[in-house]
This record gives sequence, structure tokens and C-alpha cells, in this order.
Amino acid sequence: MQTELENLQASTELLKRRLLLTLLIFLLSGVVIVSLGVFFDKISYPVLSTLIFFPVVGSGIILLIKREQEELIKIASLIIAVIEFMLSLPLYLSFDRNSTAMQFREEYMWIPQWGIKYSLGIDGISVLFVLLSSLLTILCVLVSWNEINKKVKEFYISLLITHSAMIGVFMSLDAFLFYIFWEAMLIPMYLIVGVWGGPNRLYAAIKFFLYTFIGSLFMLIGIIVLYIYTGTSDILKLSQFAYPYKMQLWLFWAFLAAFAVKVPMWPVHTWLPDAHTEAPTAGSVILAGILIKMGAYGILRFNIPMFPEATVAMTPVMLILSVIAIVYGALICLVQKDLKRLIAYSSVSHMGFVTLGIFALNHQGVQGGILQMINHGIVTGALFLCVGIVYQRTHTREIAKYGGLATVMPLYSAFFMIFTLASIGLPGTNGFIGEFLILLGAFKSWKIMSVLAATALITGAAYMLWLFQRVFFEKTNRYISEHINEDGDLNTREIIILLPLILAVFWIGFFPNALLGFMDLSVKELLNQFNSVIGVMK
Amino acid sequence: MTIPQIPLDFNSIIPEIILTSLASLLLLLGLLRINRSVLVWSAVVLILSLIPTIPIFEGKAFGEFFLNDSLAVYIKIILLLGTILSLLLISSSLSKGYILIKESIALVVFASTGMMLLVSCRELISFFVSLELMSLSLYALVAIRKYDIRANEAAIKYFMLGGLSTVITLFGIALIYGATKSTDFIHIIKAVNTSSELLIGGLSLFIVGFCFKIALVPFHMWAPDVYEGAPTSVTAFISTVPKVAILGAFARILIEIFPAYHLQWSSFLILFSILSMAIGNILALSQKNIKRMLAYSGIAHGGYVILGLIAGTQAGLNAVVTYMLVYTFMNIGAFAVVIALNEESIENYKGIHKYHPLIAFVMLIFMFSLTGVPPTVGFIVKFNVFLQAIKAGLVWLVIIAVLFTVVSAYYYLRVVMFMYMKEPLKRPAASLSRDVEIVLALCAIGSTILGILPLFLI
Repeated sequence: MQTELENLQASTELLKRRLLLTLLIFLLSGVVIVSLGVFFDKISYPVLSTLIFFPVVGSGIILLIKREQEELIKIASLIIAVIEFMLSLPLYLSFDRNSTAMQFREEYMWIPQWGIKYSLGIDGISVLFVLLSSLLTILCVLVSWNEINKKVKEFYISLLITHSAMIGVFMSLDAFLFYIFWEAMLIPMYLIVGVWGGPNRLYAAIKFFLYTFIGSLFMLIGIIVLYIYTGTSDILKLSQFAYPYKMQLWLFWAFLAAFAVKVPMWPVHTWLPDAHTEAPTAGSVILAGILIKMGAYGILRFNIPMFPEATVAMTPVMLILSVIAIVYGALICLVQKDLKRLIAYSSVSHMGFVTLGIFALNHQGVQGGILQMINHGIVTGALFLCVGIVYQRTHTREIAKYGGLATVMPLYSAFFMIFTLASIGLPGTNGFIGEFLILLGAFKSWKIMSVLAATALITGAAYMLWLFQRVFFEKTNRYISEHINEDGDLNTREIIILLPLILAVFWIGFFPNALLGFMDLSVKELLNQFNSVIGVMK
Repeated sequence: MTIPQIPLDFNSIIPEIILTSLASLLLLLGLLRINRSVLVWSAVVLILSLIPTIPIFEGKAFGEFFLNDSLAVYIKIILLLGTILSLLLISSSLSKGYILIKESIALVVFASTGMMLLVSCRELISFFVSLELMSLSLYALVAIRKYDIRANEAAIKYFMLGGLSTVITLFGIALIYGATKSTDFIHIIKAVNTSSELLIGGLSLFIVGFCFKIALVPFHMWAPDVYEGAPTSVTAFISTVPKVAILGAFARILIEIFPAYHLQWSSFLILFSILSMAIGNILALSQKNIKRMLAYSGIAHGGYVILGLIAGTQAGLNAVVTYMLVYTFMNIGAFAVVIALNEESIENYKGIHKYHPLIAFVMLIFMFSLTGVPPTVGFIVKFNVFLQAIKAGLVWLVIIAVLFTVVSAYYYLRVVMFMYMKEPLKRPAASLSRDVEIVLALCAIGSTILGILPLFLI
């Protein structure tokens, strides 16, 4: 009795401390937002470099903390992630939506012997990914709070460095720099999957590494060939050259090798289910949220503007691959027995929509593709977070073991339902806008592809709703309810994690222009340039 | 026949003279009762102070016979850096009494004198003599642990096969002399344009000797056995520094003296390069001893690095030399980890991270650097040789190299995987002396900072 009371006191004490801390962070962030809002026009600092290197410096600080002080390490990384998010807000606030130029430019000579520059900048296509990555990193830190309990220090360092490298990919305007960031991301991600992953993590980690590495090396050859042909590695300059048709074809495939693996397109998608399933929750969120978007982003940044003729020639192939991914991914989902694996295959299907939209090569399609990437990052990220949250309690991901979760975790099931509906693409959620735009765009240029892809919407609804039914309704499994009762429904931390994503789902669902406005002109510019080249060719 | 008067001009050969006297002095002082770490550190400090002064000695000596131009200076700086790192590693085995310490320091310094001469020689006979000075010191170094059976076996193997390769090189030199009537590079360049079969024969034997020394397939047989048998600190030295010198020296000769035969020698080397990448990487996959694995990885790296040589341009030569600088850091670093942990079996690297997080982390850096993953420096140099090879129109060869790089990722990552992702089998008895710590720190910094700021490129 006595000890119980003490325990209760201790836990309320802990709760108080955490609430105070949260309050403090919110206050701090409020102050920072306001001050940044007021002063941003007056101060000028290298925004993008700060964004990239702040987490690196931060992980240096974490490195200095003693290994035993795990709580301090977690809090430090949370603060770093929150500040990083604050630092990324200027991108949202003062990004000029009426300009197609690269903004926040930074350019320094880096390797003078080769004329390679450290050159950063963002346009409407890339800005959203940087914001999304900063947001998801905070959530990743939070969700790992209780999940990761070995080598805590290394985990948070890897997480922060992965974030740095990923946003570096979206910011770099030099092919060489792009490649450096592209590959630098591999090392921490390999560790995240391999060290903190599930039982089959070693296989998943090495598979992830080797698949990505082989694709990337072909891109490296492509970059070298481009560099030798043009004498520059500046991405903007590279897109202005006209390359011979045959060379375009080769280079298109060289670059696609790297990007297709990352997207992942069918048939090089097999690493994704393994990596997703085995990675810790934070790893899955990063993979789904940002990492696989790098591939589609690369196609938009390299393949389409640099090799327009090859793109036109290869469009049917790409569309067929996309449709296969969409339909195949959706069908495979129907037979999955593992929660995470199911969501991983749904990623294959959703990313198929993205490539379908991009290779529709019209305004709606490309815009829809980019929006779908953001949506997928939010929704699938959220679904992985949800799975992680329930896995913490039950330690199983097997769907058959679940059942009747709605009665023991009503709040959780409400959250999950919203994300499920967003994943299906119900009007009013963000998923609808993206898929609608993609299908519209695809219908404009390739009717049959659009029709085939649309069938997957039905399959999508089927597997997601069936999943929901099996997990949340039906008869309550004793094993599950016992485990749940220990921890109960969502706690404050978990609600804090999921809340921003719920907001994002509805915000984009009802007000898509908030994001479409960012990319509108950049996409137009991209397609104008593309069409003018194709027009000349005809 | 008049004998040409050779002007005696010792200015640019002073560093070599200093090193020779240092080595002899070390041998003499070794007779007295001087603390052994004092000997090592005085040698290290002296060589260290030599590094910044080397560019002062740029120039020619003995007419045209000895050339110390900027490229030679660059290679010599790498050589001295490698020598210092190796000396520190050797001195770390000093406390254990494994090694005849005084002799080994002197032998290392003699060997590096030979290497420095090798880089600068512009005349075939002195070239050969420097090569022998280097090789003989190395043979003795391998056998320095005189009661160790494995080391003795390794030394005999090394000596026999090394002797064979020397003979082949010498025969090549003789044929070249026969064809050109001169051992002097300046005359050879003039005579080269008149093509003759004799010269091609000499050149191919010359190349065989070269491939032997840097362990390119099919002349690689000795490397794994010798690397495994020799004391680890000696392995770190012989697997790295002599390769720098030999690649530097031979590559210069091939590119600067025999550009007319580029087609002939490059087709040889293309074959050897493909074979080395294939055999080195594939055999490394199944190794259980980390020293053997690093030996095969060294063979594979030999295959990558001569891509720059095959390109046959000055830029390609520069790429080769910078690659070797980086290779010095990565490879000596990896061997330093082996010394620090005192473990040869890869199995025993399981769970090292748990007990020695810092050592595991630097090993991770070296492994990723050897794979060539950015932002480590291994990527920059690999990019550089690929760049030069593609410039020379060898895209297909680079594609092969890339595919084998992926293969190599597997065995390098396996070490990382063992260290970070497996449970430890036993607690490794690490013996971290100050010297090894310094080497690890230097190599780790070299492999990361230079990857982000490649200041070393020429």
C-alpha cells in the first residue's frame, strides 16, 4: 500500500516535470517564432547551411553527454529537433511563392581543382520536403522515447545526422554535392535499421544498403559523364544543355537506377518491405516520410529537365512500371499478415501513384505527384507511428493476434481511423487531393493508365478497411487486452506526436492551396522548359 | 668514348641523406642502453620536422639523374607520413617485447629512404638499387619477430617471390637498356619513339615486376600470406607505404617516359585491373582473418587505383598519387584498430562497440572510407580515379569497377555489422597505448576532414 502510494507520487511528480518541460518548450518555440517573424527581414544569415549543420553540431553536443544520462540525451535531442524546426520556419514564412528562381541561394567554391561549388537553394518543389523532414524528426525523437533503450546516444545522433543529410539532398544545387548528401544518408540509416531494428534487422539493413549503393553508383557514373561533357556540375546549368539523344537515353537510365531504387519502383522495390518492417518506428517514419521521396525528387530534378527527349521516349515504360507498382502493391497488401509489412507495401502502391503523376508530364500530374509525396509522408509516417505506439504495448505486429482494439483503446482507434481514411483518399483528407490530381493528370495524357491505376483505389480501400476491421473490431483478443491494460490508451506524449499530423491531414484536405501555392510556379516553369525542348524537337 | 662529367649537386638529395644518417645512427645508438621509446620518438620527431622542409629541396641533383619536382615532393610527404604512422604502430608493440625494436626502426627508416630515392630516380640502375634497398629492408622487417614460425614462413615467401620479381624487373631493365642503349631516362625518352620489339618485351617484364610489388592479380599470391604472418604493425607498413612509392615511381615512368607505348602497357594493366578487382573483392568476402581480408581489399584497391594510371594522363597520375595518400590513412588506420584490439579473427569483432565505442566508431569510418561512401575521403579519391578513367573513354571499365565496389561494400560492412549489431562473444583485451591512440586519431581525422574539405587534391 505504502509503496503504491509512493509510486503514484513519483509518477505524478514525473508527469509534472514532463508537462512543465513541454510547456517550457512551447513557450520557447512561441518566442522564437514571434521573434523570427518580426526580425526575419532584418537579419540575414545562411538559412539553409544553418539548417543542415545545426543538427550536426547538435549531435556533437549529444556526443559529449555521458552515456548513462539517457534522459538528458533524449531531452537534448528533442530540443535540438524543435529548434531545427523553428529554424526551418523562415522557409515557410518568407518563401516567395511568386518566383520560379531558386531562393535562399548560397554559393561558395568548394573544390576549386574541379570547379565544384558548395551551392544550396530551394524552389517550390523542394521547400516542402525540408519542412516535412524537420517536423517528422521531432516526432521521431518523441516516438523513440521509450522504444529505444540500448545505445541511446548513438541512436539520436544517427537520427539527427540522417535528417541533415536528407535535407541536404533537397537543397543542393550541385550534382556532386547532391551525391555526397545522397550517400551520406546511407551510413546513419544503415545503422538505424541494423542496430535498433527487429529480429531480421541484419538482412534488412544490408539489403537496404546494397540496393541503394548499387543504384547510386550508376548515378555517380552519370554525374561524371555529365561533368566531363559539360565541364560543370551545377544542376541549373546542366539542365540548360542539349545532350545528344543517345547519350540522354544512357544517362536517363543511369540516373533512374539510383532514383528507382529509392522510390522504390517495381521491380526494385523488394528492399522496402524488409527495411520498413525491421526498422524501429523512427526509422520507418524517416524511410516512408522523407527518404523514399528523394528518388521522385531526383527524377524531377535530373531526369525530366536534363533528358527531356529520353523522358518522352521512356514515358510509356515508366507509366507501365508505375501502374504495375500501384496494382501489384495494393494486391500484395491484401495478403499481408504483418501490420508494418502491409503499410510498407501500401507505400509501394502510393509511390506508384507519385511516379504515375510525374510521368503524366502535365501540370496537374506533376503537382499531384509532389503533393502525394507530402501526403504519403504525413499519412504513412503517421500509420507507422501508430503501429509503433501499439507495438510498444503488445510487442507483436501480427494482424491475426489483434482484434477488438477499439474497446480498449478508443482514442487510439479514432486516430488510426482518420489516418486510414486519409490513406484511402477520402474527400476531405489530404489523400484525396493528391490522388485526384494525379488521376486527372494521367487521364489527360494516358487514359488507359489512369483507369488501370484507379482500380487500385478500390483495392486500397479494401485492404485498409479490412485491416482496420481485423485490428480494431471483431472479438477482443485476450492477449492483446491484457497487454493494453497495463499502459492504457494513448498518453500525452503520444497524443502530442499524432496531433500535428491529424491537423496536417485536414489542413491539406480542405485547403490544398496552402501547399500547391508553393509549387505552382516551379512546376509550371519545369514543364514550360520541358515542353519548349520537345517543341523544338518536333 | 668520353665519360660525361656529372655535376655534383647535393642540394635536392639532402632529405634522403638525412634519413640515411638517421637510420645508421639508430643502429649505432641501439647498441647503447637507451630507452627504446626515446629512440622511436626521436626518429618520429625528426621525420616529422622533415616533412614541412621537403618542398625547399625541390630541384635536380647530379644533372638529370635525380629529380625532385613537385609531384615527387608530394609523394615523399605521403611516404614520410606513412612512415611516421608505422613507426608509432611499431613502437606500440615495443612494450610487449614482440619485436626487435631498434633494428625495426632502423629498417623502416632505411626502407623509406629507398622509397624516397625510388620516386626521384631518373636513371634505371639507381632506380633498381633504390628498389632493392626498399625491398631488402622489407624482407627483414617481416622476419623481425625471429622466433615466430608464421612470421618466418611469411618472410621466406616474401623473399623468394620478391626476389623473383626483382629478377624479372632487372631483366626488363636490361632489355630496355638493350633497346635504347641507355639507362638514362632522358636518352630513353628520345630513343623510345623508334619502336622495337625488344623495348616492348622489356617494358612488359618491367610492368610484371611492378604488378608483383603492388600485388595485382595474377601476381598477388604472396600478399595474404605475408600480411597474415608478419607482425601487424609491420603489415600496416608493408601493405601501405611501399605501394605508395612503387605506384608513384612506376606510374611516373610509364606515363612520362613511355607514353608512346600507352596502348600496349595500358591493355596489360586493364586486364590486371579487372582481375584484381574481381579476385580481390570476391576472395575478401569469405575471409575469416581480418588481416587477410585487408590484404585482399588491398589487392582490390590496387585494381581501382591503376584506373588512373590506365587513363595515361598527367591528371590520371595525380589521381593515383592522391588516392595513395588517402589509402595510407584508411589502411594504416584499419590496421591500427587491429593492433589496438589485438584480434585477428573477424568473429571476435562482434559487439566491440559495447566495450570500446570509440574504437568501433573509428573502424566504422575506415570501413566506409575503404568502401568509398561519402562523406568519407575514400569517396573523393575513388571519384577522382573514376573521373580520369571516364575522361579517357573507359566508361565500361568504370562500370566494372563500380559493380565490384558494391561487392566490396558487403565485406567492409560485415565488420561494421559485427561491431555494432551482434552480441559480443568475449570481452576483447584491448591494449590501447598512447602511440596507437595518436595513429587512430590522425587517421580518423584524415579520413573524415579531408573528405569534407579535399585540400589535398593536386
